[in-house]
Amino acid sequence: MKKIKFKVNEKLFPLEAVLTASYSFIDSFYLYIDKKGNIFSVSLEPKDETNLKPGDIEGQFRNELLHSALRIKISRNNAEIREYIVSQALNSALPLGINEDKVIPKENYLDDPLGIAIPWEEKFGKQKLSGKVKKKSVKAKKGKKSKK
Amino acid sequence: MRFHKAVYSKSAIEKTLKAFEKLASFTLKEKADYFILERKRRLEDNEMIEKEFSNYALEAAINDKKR
Repeated sequence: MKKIKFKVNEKLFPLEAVLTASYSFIDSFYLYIDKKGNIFSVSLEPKDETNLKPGDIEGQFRNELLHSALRIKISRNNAEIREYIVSQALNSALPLGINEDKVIPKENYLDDPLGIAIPWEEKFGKQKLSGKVKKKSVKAKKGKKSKK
Repeated sequence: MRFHKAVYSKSAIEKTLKAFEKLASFTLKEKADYFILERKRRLEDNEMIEKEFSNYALEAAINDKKR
C-alpha cells in the first residue's frame, strides 16, 4: 500500500493531540508530519502488508486524534484539582517534623498552668468558702420556694 | 529530508542523528522553519533508512514534548 496523506487543522486539533495520536501508530506505520500555516499534513505508510483500506486507516487516525484531543482537554480542566490532590498526598506522606514551621512544645499531663487541679479551698481559703456558699445556698432555696 | 521546527525539536533531530550515525551520516542545516538533513553518501537501503529515521525523530520529538 502506498502512502496515505491527509490534513489536520491546528485550530481543531493542537500539535499535542496530533503527536499523541501519531504515537499510537508508530509501531505499524512510517509517519511523517509537516506543517503549513495552521494545517498539519500527516503521512502514513504501513510497514507491512495490510488488508486495511486507506480510508479505514485515516478514519482510525482521526478517531485517535479526537480521543487525544478530548483527553488533553479533560486533563487541562482537571489540572488544578489534580495538583491539589497530589500535593496533599505528598504532604501527608512526609515524615513528622519535616514540614512543620511551628515547634509544638512537649507537654506533661501533670503540668497545670491554669491551676485547675488546685482544690478550691487551697486557692481561696476556708473562710471565704463558708461565708459565700452559705449566702448563695440560702438565696437559691428561697427562689425555689417562691416559684412553687 | 526536512523536518518542521514546530513538530520536531532540535534535540530530537540530534538524538536521531546520533542513533543513526553508524547507518548513515547526514549534515544538519536550518532553513527558515525547517531542519534540513542532507546525506553525505548514498546507501542501498536509503529509502528505508529515511523512513526509519523519520519515525525515530517523531518518537524522540514526542518524548521531548512529554517532559
